Order: sequence, then structure tokens, then C-alpha cells
Amino acid sequence: MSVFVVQESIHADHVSRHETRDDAIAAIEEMIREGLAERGEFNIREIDDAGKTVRVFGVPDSAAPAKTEVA
Amino acid sequence: MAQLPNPDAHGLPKTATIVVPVPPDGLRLHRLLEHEIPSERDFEPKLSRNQAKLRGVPELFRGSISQWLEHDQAVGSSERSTCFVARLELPAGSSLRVALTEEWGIGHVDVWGHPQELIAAVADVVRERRRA
Repeated sequence: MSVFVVQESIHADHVSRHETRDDAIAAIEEMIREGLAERGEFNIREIDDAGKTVRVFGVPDSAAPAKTEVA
Repeated sequence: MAQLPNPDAHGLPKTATIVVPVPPDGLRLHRLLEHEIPSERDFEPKLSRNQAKLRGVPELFRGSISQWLEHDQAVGSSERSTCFVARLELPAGSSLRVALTEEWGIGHVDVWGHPQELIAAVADVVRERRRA
């Protein structure tokens, strides 16, 4: 079973572990929402059962809150 | 290669952290950098107290940085199309402290040390370009 690690994007310093991709995304979104992080400051590293990195990915734009259009 | 104590081998939970000085023969580690030229910023822990609190990060790990036993493990932890990996030769007898923390991935090592001491241990930097 994969584990999803939230990490600092440039240096890969670890922050937190999550059981699902969505939980990891939500953790980053929460930091952004609380004003504690910029978008792109953190990403997600997926590791497999053996602890080997499978892939690294950022929070997808679709996870960003919709912008309100002003006429 | 120098062996770092593994919590498993001591009958401790995987999440236990055994922090030790650099082994007598020194320790080779690898660290992702922002640019090709290393700077002290590359070795400065960045997690703020509030970020750590929100994410439940123990204070112990707010002061450490991530490094890797193998070059490829460092490369694999980067999302960037081009990344920079420093090889550090950590000397024994320094104030540096290290812990094998493989709950974060195979070969992951937390390192505690002054950025000046860590930058002084950089032996070389390799630019890695990820294949499309």
C-alpha cells in the first residue's frame, strides 16, 4: 500500500505522511488556506510498501479554489 | 559504508528516531539543492513553527533537513525536470547529528547541523536532468 509524503518542493524536506493522495493534497491545501504556505511550496512524494519513491507530484490546479469572476 | 542504527534492529517501532553523531569513518549523504551553487539556505530547515503545529510535526523534526544515502534516492525525491544533488562527506567528531528515518523512504536520513558546517561538507554537486 502506498504512502503519500508531503514535502518541501525544492529540498524534499518531509512534513507529513498520509494514507491517500487526497489526504496529502488536503494537507497542502489547508496550509495554503491558513496562509502558512504558497502554492508550489510543497509537493507530494508517493512511496510504495518497500519505501521506494514511486513518483513526485504537485497539487493539481483543479484542487485550487475556483476564482470568482468580477464583471 | 557506515551503518546508521535502524529502529527495527533494536526492537523499536519504525517511527522511533535514533539520533547519533556521525560514525567514526564519516558518512556520505546526498542533498537536493535549489541551484548548482550550494548556499546556506539549502541547509536551513524551512518549516515554520505554525506549519509544523498545523501538520503535527514534532519539534525534533522542525530543526532537521532531509538527506539520502544514495544519489538516486535524492534525484527520485525531486519533481523538477532539472535538479541539483550535492554529495556531502560528513566528518566524524563534529556537532552534526544524524538519524536513519526510513519511514520517509528508503535511505532517508534526517540531519541536524549548522548550515555553515553542512555546506563545508559539500564535496561536489551534480546536475541531473530528468528524462521526459
